[in-house]
Amino acid sequence: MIKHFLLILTFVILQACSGGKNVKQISSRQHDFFSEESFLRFDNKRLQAFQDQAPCFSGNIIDDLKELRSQLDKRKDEPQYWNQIGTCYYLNQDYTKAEYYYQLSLGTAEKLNHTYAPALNNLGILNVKLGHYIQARDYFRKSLKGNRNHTPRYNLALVHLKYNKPEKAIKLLTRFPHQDSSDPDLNFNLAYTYYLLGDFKQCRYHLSKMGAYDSRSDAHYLKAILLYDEGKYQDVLEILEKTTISITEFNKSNNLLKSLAEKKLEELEELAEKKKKAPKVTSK
Amino acid sequence: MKMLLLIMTLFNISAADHKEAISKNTPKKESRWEKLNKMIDKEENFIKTITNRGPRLQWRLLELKTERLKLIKEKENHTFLNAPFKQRKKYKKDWYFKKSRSYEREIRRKGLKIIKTWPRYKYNADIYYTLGLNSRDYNKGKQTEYFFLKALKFAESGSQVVYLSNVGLAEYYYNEKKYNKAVSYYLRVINNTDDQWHSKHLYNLSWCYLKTGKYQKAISFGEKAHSLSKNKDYIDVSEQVYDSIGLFYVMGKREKDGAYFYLNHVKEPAKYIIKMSKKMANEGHYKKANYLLQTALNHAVDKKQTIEEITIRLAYLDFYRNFKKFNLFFSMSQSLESIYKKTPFEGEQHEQTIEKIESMVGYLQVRLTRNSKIKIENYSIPLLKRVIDYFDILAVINKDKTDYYRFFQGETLFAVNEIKRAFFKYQASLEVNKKIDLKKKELKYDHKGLRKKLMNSLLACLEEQKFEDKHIIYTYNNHIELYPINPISQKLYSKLFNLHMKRKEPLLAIKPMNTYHKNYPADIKIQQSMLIKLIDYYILQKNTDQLASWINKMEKGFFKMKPDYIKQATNVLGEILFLDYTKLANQGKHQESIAGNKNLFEDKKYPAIIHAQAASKIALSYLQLGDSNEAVNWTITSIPLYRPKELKKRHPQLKASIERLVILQDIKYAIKLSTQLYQKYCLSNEPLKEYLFDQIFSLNLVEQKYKTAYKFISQKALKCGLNGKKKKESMISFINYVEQHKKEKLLTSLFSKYALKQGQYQNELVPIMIKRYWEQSLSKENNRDAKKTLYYLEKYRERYPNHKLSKDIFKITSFNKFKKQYEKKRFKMFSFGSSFDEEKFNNDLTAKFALLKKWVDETRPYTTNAPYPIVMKTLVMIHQKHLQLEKIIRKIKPPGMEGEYLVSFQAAMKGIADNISKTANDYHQQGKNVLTSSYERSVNNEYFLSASKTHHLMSIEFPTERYTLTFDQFWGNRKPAKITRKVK
Repeated sequence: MIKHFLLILTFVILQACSGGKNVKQISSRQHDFFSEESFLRFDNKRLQAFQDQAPCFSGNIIDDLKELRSQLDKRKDEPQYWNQIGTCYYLNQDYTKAEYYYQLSLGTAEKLNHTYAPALNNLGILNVKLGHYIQARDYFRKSLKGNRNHTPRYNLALVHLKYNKPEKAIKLLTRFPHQDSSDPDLNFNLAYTYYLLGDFKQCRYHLSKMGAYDSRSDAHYLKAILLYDEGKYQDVLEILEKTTISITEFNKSNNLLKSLAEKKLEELEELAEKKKKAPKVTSK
Repeated sequence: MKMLLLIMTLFNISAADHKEAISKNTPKKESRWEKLNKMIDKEENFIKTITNRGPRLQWRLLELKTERLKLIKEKENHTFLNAPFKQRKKYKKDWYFKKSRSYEREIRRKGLKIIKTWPRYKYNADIYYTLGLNSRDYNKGKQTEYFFLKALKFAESGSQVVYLSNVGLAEYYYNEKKYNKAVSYYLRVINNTDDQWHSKHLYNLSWCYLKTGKYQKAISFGEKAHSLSKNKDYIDVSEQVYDSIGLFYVMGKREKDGAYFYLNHVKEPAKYIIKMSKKMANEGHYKKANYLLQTALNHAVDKKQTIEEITIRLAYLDFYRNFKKFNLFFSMSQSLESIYKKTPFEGEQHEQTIEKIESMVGYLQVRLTRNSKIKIENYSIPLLKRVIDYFDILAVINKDKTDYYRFFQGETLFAVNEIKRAFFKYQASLEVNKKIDLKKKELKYDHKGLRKKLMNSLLACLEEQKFEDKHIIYTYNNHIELYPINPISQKLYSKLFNLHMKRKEPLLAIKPMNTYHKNYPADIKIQQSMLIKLIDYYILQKNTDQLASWINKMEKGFFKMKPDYIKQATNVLGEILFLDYTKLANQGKHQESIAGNKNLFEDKKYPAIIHAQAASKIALSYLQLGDSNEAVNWTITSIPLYRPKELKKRHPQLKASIERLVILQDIKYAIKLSTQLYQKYCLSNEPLKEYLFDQIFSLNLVEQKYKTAYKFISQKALKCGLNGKKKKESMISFINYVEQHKKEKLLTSLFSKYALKQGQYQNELVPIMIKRYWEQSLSKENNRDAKKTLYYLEKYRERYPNHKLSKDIFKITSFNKFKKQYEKKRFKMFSFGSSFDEEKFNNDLTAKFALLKKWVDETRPYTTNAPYPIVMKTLVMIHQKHLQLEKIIRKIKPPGMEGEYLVSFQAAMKGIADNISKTANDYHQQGKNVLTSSYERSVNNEYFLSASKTHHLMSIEFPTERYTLTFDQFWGNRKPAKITRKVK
């Protein structure tokens, strides 16, 4: 029983150490529109350059928390310090502690008579994780208040999408100064929003800007659905076959789309067969 | 006559009393007296039986009576001597001897009657002689001379009576100082050399000659008496001769002969020669007297007769004193001192020596001081020295009084203003005095009285002149030791204390302080100030051992010091003790600081508060080192060591420690410490308790120990007096926290326990469950969970049907039923048969429109005042019903209809379908409007968007959490400039 428990614990710890790491790692700064604000999509290579600034992102959460602990007396008055600790716990999926230290970050900032946008944003993403999207929206709004930081704006747009508010999302997403960015996530979400708004042209445009990341299942979903609506069922199947990066949330819909496309093709084939068998009609 | 009888009666009573008194004082055993008396009685009675008694028998009776007179006198003497003093004073001597006097008179009458009756009786001379003796012995000699002379007259020449009568007359005249008459009778008496009393008669005769100025004869008969005394036939009167003959020689101006007489005949002649010398001295013959003394002294020295020598030297002292030869007196005193040193002498000689020297020194003191006691000026320095020296001699000779002599020396010196020398003499005196056991009963001198005088004198010296501290300390110390309870000592305690403190001798200062308190507990305030001074000194010296020791004593009630002061002192001790270790800690050398503080913690001599503070400091260092486990353990160790008030003052630090543990991310240790403290204050009203409660509760939630947090607020805290209001608030917080962090199972059990079973927290739990239901309903994956949630909600509604929230649940359940039924509803296709029946078709179409209206009407309850998902779902259903009808109408193909009729029919149907489509679009738009105006989630939201219908089929809920990003680097409120980062 104890052995079994220890095995599970080890597994959980291993999961925790690697947990929270976004599978959509971006290896190049060029493709990371938010690189100056968020380390979340940094791959290990990029993170090496930011060991001090980006604790826990490389997965060494326990060691990095220890290191942060040792910096306590030097940095305890920095909101950033508590934000970093909060993020460590966030990455470790320990959301109660993450919330506690994000709040501590805000409290520290408050003592310095200002608000700390990152902690507010991170409380927002924490609430997203917990499914409290309204609270998340409010935190992102607070984080955005009085500044032009990209991350909370981007996150707020994503919450609007959760509530099927593409018109609100597009307003936020189109206010970024680098709309021509090759950031795959930003472009996907722009594409998705445009899609919801019925602007398929813009949708296609942003999908095309995903570059090397356009083989992700989310991008393929949009591409496939556009093709499907155009009746290009064979293309739908082809594109879905080419998916190399799996985004879980889209896999199911992609499979469904695939089966729909296959069905359509079968119907078309049947129809073609019928046409072949039917006598030629000579027009008058 | 009557008067006479009364007097006689009174006399008899009085006489009887006296008899009784006499008998009482009479010895019980008088066997000899009684025996003799009886013998006399017997013979007397016998003679009295003879009726015709002649002179012989009468003379015999007289002799018997004389014998009885002796016995009576003997008895009277005994009575007189044994009579109480008051009685003797009252009755005078004669009263005691009245019987013998009376009896003597009776004998005398009877004797004279015999002589008268028988004038020629041959023993009449003997009778006269007897009467003479009786008169001499029993009646003050009034008729002694007469009867002795009568005896001589009637006695036969050469008879014994003649000799005895001559002796009697010689002695009578001698006693009557009729020396010439006495000489004449003694000259007759000394002719008889057969009498053993001859030597005595010669000695008496020598005195008669001295008294008549015939000194040479006196010397001669004195020497004869001395010479015959060596003959055993005679009475030895040599001692009487020695006593007297010196005077004879002096009077005869033959003092040298006298000296030689004594030197030749007496073994220890000093006293006789001294007597002679005194006589000479009295007559002013210094040289002769000196010669005699010198002769005696030389003799004594030659013969090594120390006692004789001392006697002579003592005589010398008187001699020199009389002749004011003070230097010689001093020399003689020194000689006596030397003798005493070699052979200490005792008794009278010792007393005399002391007396004479004391007398002389007393005299000299008077001369020196002229009876003034202080500040005598122009005194004789040699005389002062002499006085001091005499007391030194006395101190040797009379050791028992040494303290007195030293004191007298001091007094003498003080009188002449030699204050410092006086002090040392007093000091010497006191040292001797202190060795004397005053409890002894046989003390010769009043040493106790002297001791007081000495102390006063020592204090007087200190007042007169400035002395070194050691002398002041000596005096004060002795005063408080010898007279611990004394008004002067009462003042001296603090003076002595202050002096020691001034001299930085705190250990010596403690004794007077303690003794002062022991003897004058009422002066506690003064003693407290003394103790404060002592402690201040130790503080200044940073003497932590002493400080700790005194704090321990004060804590046990020593001097009833105020708790505030003890606390203050303890704080200072702490500051001193912790100073170095605090410095180390401030320098970041926490391990060294911990080691030092551990030493203090383990040192038992320090009070509990120091141990407590040490433990706290160790804890603090561990906190700084980040060793939360040790920090908490040490903090917990410190807690019971603090007194309640002290611990209360530490509350801010304890709070800080808890907060530090939290920011160190060691939340479990923050909980441990908070819990420990909360247990301590479990039953108190301490404000900290509320803080601790909040900490334990909230930190357990942060640690995701929901069960612990729940148990704490629902059980443990209740035992510690958590009130209902606070418990309710905490429970609501707990519910919200659980909801916030999606602890679904826990939430379900809370709902089940409280809302469902106990009817508590309904307003919190029911809306949460409803919200949860809608969230679960959003995805098909959670449909099962949604059903389960709804199951609980339905149970709730069953149990509390009238509760306001039950209406909300009812809306869900009723809608679900409605939806199920509603979705089954379908418009039937138009049926025509073989041919088109217009009327039937119109009726069927009208019925379909009526049904559509009916179905739309049925949805009314779900489009207004309904939850958002219900509204949206209802709008979808209405929209779809319209679309269905529209589709059916568009597909109508009546059989047999052709041509223009068919064209116009189809145009009419199209118009109807378009209208339905328009209405459907209206509903769609309505849904869109709701979507736009609300910020709610629903599975049907996408339905009202403009995206492709295919996308709707996918039922994709946008994965916001997949794309959201952490915000890790803040560049302020402006857009960050592009920077090039250095790669490590």
